[in-house]
Amino acid sequence: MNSMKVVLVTGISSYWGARAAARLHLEPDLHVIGLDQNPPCIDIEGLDYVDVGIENPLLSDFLMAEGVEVICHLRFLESVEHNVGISAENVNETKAILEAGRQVGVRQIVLKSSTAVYGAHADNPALLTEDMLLRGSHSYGYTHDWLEVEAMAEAFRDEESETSVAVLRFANIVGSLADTPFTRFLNQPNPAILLGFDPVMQLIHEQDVVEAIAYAVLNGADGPFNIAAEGIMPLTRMLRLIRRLPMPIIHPLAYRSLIQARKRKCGRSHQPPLDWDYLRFPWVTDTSKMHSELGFSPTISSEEALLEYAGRWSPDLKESEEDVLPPAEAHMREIMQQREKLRTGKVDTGE
Amino acid sequence: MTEEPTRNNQCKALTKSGTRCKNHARIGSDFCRIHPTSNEIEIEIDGDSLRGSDVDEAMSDPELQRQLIQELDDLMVRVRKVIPDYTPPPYTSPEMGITQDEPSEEETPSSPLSLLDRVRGVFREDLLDRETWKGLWYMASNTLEYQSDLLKRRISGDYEIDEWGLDWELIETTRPFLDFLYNYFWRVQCAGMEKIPDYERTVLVCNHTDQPPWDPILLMAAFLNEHPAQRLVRNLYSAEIPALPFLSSLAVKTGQALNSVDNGVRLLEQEELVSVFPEGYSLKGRNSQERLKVSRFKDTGFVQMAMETSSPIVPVSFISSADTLFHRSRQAARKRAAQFPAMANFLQLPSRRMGSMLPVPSKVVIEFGEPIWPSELDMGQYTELEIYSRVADMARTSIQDMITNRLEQEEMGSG
Amino acid sequence: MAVFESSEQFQTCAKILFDRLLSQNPEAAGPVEKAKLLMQFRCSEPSVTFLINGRRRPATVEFGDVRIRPEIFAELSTDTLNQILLGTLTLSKALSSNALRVHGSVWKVTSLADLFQECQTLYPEVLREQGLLS
Repeated sequence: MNSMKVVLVTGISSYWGARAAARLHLEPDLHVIGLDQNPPCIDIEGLDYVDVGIENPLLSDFLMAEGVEVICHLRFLESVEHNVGISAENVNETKAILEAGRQVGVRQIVLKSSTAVYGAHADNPALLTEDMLLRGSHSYGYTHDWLEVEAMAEAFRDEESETSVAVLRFANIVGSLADTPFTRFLNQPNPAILLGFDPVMQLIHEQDVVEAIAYAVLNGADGPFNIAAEGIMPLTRMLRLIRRLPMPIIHPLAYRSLIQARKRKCGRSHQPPLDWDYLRFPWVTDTSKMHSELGFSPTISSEEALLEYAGRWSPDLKESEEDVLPPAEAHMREIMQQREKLRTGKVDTGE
Repeated sequence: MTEEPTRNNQCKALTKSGTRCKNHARIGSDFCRIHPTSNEIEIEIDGDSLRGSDVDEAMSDPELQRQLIQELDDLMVRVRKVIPDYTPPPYTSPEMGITQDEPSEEETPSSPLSLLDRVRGVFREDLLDRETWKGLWYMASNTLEYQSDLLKRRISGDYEIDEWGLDWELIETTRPFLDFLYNYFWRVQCAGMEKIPDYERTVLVCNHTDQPPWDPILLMAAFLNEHPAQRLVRNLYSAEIPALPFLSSLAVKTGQALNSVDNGVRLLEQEELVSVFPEGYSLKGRNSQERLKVSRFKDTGFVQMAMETSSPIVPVSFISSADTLFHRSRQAARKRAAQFPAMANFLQLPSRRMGSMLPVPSKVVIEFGEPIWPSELDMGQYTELEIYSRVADMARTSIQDMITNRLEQEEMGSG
Repeated sequence: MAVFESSEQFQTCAKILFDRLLSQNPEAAGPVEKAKLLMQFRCSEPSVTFLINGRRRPATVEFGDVRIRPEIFAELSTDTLNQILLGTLTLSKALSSNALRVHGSVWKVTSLADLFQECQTLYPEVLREQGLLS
């Protein structure tokens, strides 16, 4: 029996689960158990992987036996439109986790959600705070499921006052490795936007997403938190930074085309990755609670995140900013080092 | 290279055979009509003749400049002799006497006078100075550099916006258009701008003129042009705007925010100047009598904002001398327009044509009244809602009074 | 070889100059007020910033970094300003040698002409009083 905190991470076959498990695995006093039906997509050395589905009836027994204290539920199937099967799976799995958590009496449950749950509506206030009504978009697959998850989490929080339920609502996630709705939107050679609309948006880098999850686990966070990087940007500025030319569509036509696409059940490749409302109305959230209560500050700003996605920036640059010399100076330094070596070498051999 | 004695106003050019041209020189020039004054001129300075580019060099010599100016002065004196009642401009040297040669009969006296005037005016000392031209060139090239740099930065996405979406560069770029609207199209007159402090939070309550979409723009232009601290007015726009294509993004980029109490309170806490137009857009078809009455305030959120942040409420009255171009009256068209409610309301449809969206040039007077401090009012005995409606009423009557007073003044002045 | 050793020295000189100017000859500020000029001068070596505010009645000169956004922005060294005020350096020469850089709505600068002429007449005296003029 070791004194390590046991953390259960679900969904490690997906990108976020695997990354979070890998990050938490680095912590010396955490014992990470990865749970999923498929093996992790990233090769994590020494990870304790359990090949079990979440909706297994004996899940709570397993948790009890392992002495799990924190559950990090990151398994979430994405669907652009409202797919009943996937939706049911997401909701039922979350329900199972919460139920198991309640039976075992875990200390903390961490869920990953999105700021899209607030919904992009014309009458959104300029900054959405965590206590505002979650309106979401019931036709858009993602937010529908997240709304259900959030509702369950809220109910759970009301009933079980001893378990902290941290719901991390992430803004648009960008990164060169991640595959999120927003990156799919940006990946288009000419991203389709609505003519005349230029909402301001928030972003967060994938590295900070993983850091936020780890931070929440390590610090026992409780409650909903908006997580977004510093610096909001209008959509056109974002597209200019990544050097893509947008393709504006007149908005009535855009909405009509979406309805048509859904009617004909077109696949994912034919549907816009982000619901049109999210490219039209403001949905900027207030991150002051993240700074003050949670104490977490994303290290990568929105601009840097976009540039990293575009391949023009790397997080390593940030750390070594002071060490980077202009080429002439670097060359001179090299020469001086060589000559110094020669001199000392000469001295050595001379003696 | 001269062999014969020359007259004073003889053309200085050389004919094909090499002799001096015998024609009279034109007034204000050293050459006659036949010989051109462009690069092929040959002038005589101290016995040397120069041509072409050497002339430019010679012109920069201060001695030569003085000579040139002197010659022009002499010309002025001679003209004066021909036309006795002409008073020379002050910069001539009237004490110089000059021998009068036969006057030129080619041109009438009046035109050479004006021509001479202009030529003399052009030849100020510093214009002959090459540095002036260099200075102007530098200024032009700096401006060009700045503009192209601006364009480059905007295209590569290298600009900043603040947390509300305000983009200062956009405002600076549209500034000339705003100034045009402010100064020439609507000839706005502001009164009482001193009541607005330089840096502190204030709520401005305004009425609408007959062209509701343009009022916030006028107010912003007024502050950018007249206020000592060039403050930016943060208007709160109604909920119909975000649904419209270009106006929504434009409104956000000029620093405006949606009309909600949260937004207003947040802006005021950041010490911004917030303006509200509580009358709303749907003004019923106004005829001339009702035009200058302030409608009932639909939305008293501004009082709540002011009280929560203890900021003053300054009533602002807009008086415009124009009616809308067209009245709104048709019932059937209204039903049709109801399919696009936000657009219809905003554009003040239905009307046969596009109603009051078109700006009509007129004179607009903006007047700022005395600030109301809601926290200082003695309202203890009322409930919150009652307080809000009372203070809103106070603001409304204040605006109405200002309008009536101003109209009476105008009437008395003109009557 | 800077004429002014410290920003306070220049600031006192400038303050005296402008106070004297506006008290003796308030019409000189007329064109500035009419044009509603808001011009900020940013001088370097020593660094002094001042803003000519033609929108106040009467026109004022405010020192230090005020939070007002100016319409025109001029950057120059204090020596250049000294020379311009003494009349040894014409504006055109200053612009051409890039000693003076102007950004913003540049056409409004012409309203300063009168003011600067008056300054030129009063400036040597102020310098002499401060003991800075040879």
